[in-house]
Amino acid sequence: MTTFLVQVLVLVLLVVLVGIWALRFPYPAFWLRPFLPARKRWPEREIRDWLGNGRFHRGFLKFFNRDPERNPPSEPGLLAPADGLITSAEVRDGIRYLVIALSFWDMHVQRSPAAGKVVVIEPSGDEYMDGEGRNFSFLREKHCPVQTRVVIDTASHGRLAVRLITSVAARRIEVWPGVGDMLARGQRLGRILLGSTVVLEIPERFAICVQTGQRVWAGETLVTAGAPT
Amino acid sequence: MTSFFWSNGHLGWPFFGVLVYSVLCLLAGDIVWRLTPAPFRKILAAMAIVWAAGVVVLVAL
Repeated sequence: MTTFLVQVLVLVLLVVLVGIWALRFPYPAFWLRPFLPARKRWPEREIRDWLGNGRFHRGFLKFFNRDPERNPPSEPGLLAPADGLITSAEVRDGIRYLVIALSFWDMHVQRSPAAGKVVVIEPSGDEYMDGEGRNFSFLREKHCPVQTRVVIDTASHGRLAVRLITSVAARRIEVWPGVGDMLARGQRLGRILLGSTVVLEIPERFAICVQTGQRVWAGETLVTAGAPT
Repeated sequence: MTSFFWSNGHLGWPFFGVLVYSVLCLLAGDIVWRLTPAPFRKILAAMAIVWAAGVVVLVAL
């Protein structure tokens, strides 16, 4: 009888496991998450569901809000201000706009590309576009700047700007230093909460050493190298 | 009385083994599907072969 009861117990446990697995499918069950890489642990479709209902997985939020230490390289040059994928490096009117697209799984704390002084913090722009060309001008009515441009005066590279842009899902941008504050190279600059794009504005005369499609890491990847051309 | 399904007051061990093994195969297949870029049909076919081989072994024991 004892053997039978143990067998039934084991089978009930397995039925519960399969039940949870089936209810969660196609998303991973809780026991599976720790063994999966971030993108598989919290699939994009599931995150978009959470954006809709506001009920985020606690583990994902902890992962999203991570703020690891970064070690800037000793070589001279501008550092990437954000983790992500370079999607564009267009030049317009003498300014190169290095667009870095952040995914849901990227670290969302931005860092200063160079040492310098914060001279301007513009909490909004004329255009409310994200990196994918979507217009979010309707968000102007809400108490949520969707774009913040931080202008930094640097001794090494002149005047630069880091533009933090949110997506439709995001409502908040945090910029930690104030106007007049001195920034160290690679110092934490701010955070986009569930945002999607960071644009580094560099004078055209500085040649970049990254290309479209390349992954960069905030405060660690050099985006320019050498002297101005 | 001993049979595949029932043996001396409890489930037959081969039957019990097949049930447990089948569930573990299902969950393992899910992990493989998530972690490998292989097409779903290939994974399904491979898991079916592994499952069938395991069942044959369990029944033969």
